[in-house]
Amino acid sequence: MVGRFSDPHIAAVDSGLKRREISPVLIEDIESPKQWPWFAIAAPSSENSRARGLIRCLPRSPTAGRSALGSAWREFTDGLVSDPRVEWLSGLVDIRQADNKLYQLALADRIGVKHPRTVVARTTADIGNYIGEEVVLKPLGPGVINNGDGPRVFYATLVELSDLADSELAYEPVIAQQPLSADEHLRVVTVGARIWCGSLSAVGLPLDWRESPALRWRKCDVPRVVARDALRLARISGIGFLSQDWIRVGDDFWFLDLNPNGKWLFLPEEVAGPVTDAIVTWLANGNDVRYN
Amino acid sequence: MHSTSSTPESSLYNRFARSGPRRSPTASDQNETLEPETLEPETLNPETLEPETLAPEYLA
Repeated sequence: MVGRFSDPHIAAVDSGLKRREISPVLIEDIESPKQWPWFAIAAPSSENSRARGLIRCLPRSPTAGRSALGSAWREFTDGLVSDPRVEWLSGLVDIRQADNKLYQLALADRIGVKHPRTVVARTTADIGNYIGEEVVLKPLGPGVINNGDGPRVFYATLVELSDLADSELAYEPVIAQQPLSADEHLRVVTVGARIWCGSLSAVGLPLDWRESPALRWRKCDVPRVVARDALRLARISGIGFLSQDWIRVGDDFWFLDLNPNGKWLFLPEEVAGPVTDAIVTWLANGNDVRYN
Repeated sequence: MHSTSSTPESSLYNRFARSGPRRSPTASDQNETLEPETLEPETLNPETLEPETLAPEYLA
């Protein structure tokens, strides 16, 4: 497993594996020269040939950034977590690709999944022509800003085009989307071909539910059209474990985005427990939850 | 080319960034409801994000 033991998701999977008398190897942050987990190529192939892996969070290395040393550490950690002798539930390359919001929407568009009109444009006129005078803005990437006064997040925000300037858009690419008035948020989780769903009433919530201090998710049956399309998205993206965000507007369901390594423990136990168990089962037994 | 290194405090992104919600200390979903954005930003996209930027999941 690649992640941090302080992450409850890693801890939950670790517990599940240990209940099955399996002791996983955890690749964590490398904070000192004494903490190298493996030598990438020197690791005996006989050990790795039977290994399965879960990437939750890439290890932080002692040196980051663009320097030669930063690159060296990045190459090392990337090499560790993309070892082709390990069968990964979701591979590093697939995770990185699927994490891209434009890729996700293009993928949904390609297979005919309903999604909001979306544009990244250089001018407000272009956005207005494609979407209208009111748009939802979202960051490309995680959207975490840290100017030294504590981290802040660029949440999905409803704005008037008049609030934006071409001089900003030209230098700061941002996602502009068709506003939709959600009745319900759905969090759809897949592990291979298995699928679960949590729902959250949108009544009284901010546009971006992450901004709400109190959320009452409940387990729900996966709507048929959502199940069909969510599994298609999972299959075509090649992601073994996937969290997707959907909304219900009236009788229609819209795909918003997906998280190739999303959290699941905030969902009700009736959802979170089986998801953890499915991941543990895959790590323990292999391909019984994969597509083929 | 306009690189992020020349605009450490981007105006648009900075303008729309907000602090995370304050959660009840007893909430079982504490730390779980911010976007589960997967991999560390600095390692996921090391060329464009500040090295010490924390992933959203560690904000609350």
